Amino acid sequence: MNLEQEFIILLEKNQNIVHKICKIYTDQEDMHKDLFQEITIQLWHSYPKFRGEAKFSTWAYRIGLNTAISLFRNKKRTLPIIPWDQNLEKISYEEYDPEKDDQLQYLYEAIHHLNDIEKALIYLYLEDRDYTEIAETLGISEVNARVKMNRTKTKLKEILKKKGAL
Amino acid sequence: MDELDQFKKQWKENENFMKLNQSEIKAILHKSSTSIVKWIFIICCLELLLGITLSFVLPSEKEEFLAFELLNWTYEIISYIAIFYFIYIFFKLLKKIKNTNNTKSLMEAILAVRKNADHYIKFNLWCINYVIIISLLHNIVAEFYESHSWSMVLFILILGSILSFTFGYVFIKLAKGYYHLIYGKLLKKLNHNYEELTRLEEES
Repeated sequence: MNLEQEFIILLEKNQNIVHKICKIYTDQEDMHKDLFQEITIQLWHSYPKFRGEAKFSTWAYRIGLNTAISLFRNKKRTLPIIPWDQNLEKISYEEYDPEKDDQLQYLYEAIHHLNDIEKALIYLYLEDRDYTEIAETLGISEVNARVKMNRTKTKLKEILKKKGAL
Repeated sequence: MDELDQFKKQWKENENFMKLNQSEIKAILHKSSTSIVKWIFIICCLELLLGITLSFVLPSEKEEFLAFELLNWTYEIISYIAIFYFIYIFFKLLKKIKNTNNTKSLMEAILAVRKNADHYIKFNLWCINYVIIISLLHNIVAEFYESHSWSMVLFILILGSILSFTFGYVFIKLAKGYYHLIYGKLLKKLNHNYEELTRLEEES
């Protein structure tokens, strides 16, 4: 199996990691697709160096969040320069049911009120990452990660309470 | 139990996302990246190219005064050394940008490339100012050499100073406008996020 095929199989299996990042950093379907595309490209570019060095998820969190945080986005629409690949329009949407998301919808809406760094913290919290990994991923000290996490969680809870979801 | 834990459970169980199959993923791998680093790379290359082209294209007259001839040579040597220095630093900094770095280091690396471009533009502005002042001095010396008229020298000095100041001011304003337009927009979010992380470290 060549490197490309190996990567494709791995990403197909783990694609929800990337979709979840896209879900918290974007609130429109086309933006979600754009970010998914960019994260996939970045993961692929780094893949030769990754192979087996760490857990796929740990590696994907880091690259995925870095891409989402540093990507240039226009306010109106993301990445208007490169059009979304037409082939990808054929994605089987029948597998995706927005209504199933109802309960989580409150969470996503609340997360969209956070800034990019706070989003990354909440994402890593929801993915059950420990503070050592969170601190390493963001490049801050563990103590600061804890302090900021507590503040962000409080902020998120307040937003959820306002929306009547807590 | 944390109030958010109920959401965490749902979050973890959620598999309700669009599913891309292998051929769809494969199609993405062959697309171009739109990352900020790529844009900065393209913009910096264009800036360097413009600087180098201008140094070749601008006409250089045969110099009649030895002092100015020496100054021209010194200027050319320094500007070529500077261009090579900026290119060297540019590629050195680019190599440091890795998306496998932690978020803070990645942002620092990207901002360092932008800072290098900033220094390069500032260097070019100093060069332009230098050329304007040298040509002003040259005209004064040439005028004095030909006419020995102090009143003419004074006139050129006043007129030249006004023009030099005006052009210098306009160039600086243009450069600032350019920065605001290109890097300001491109790096606004990145700068904001970097400040957020830095503030976090400073607070405790």
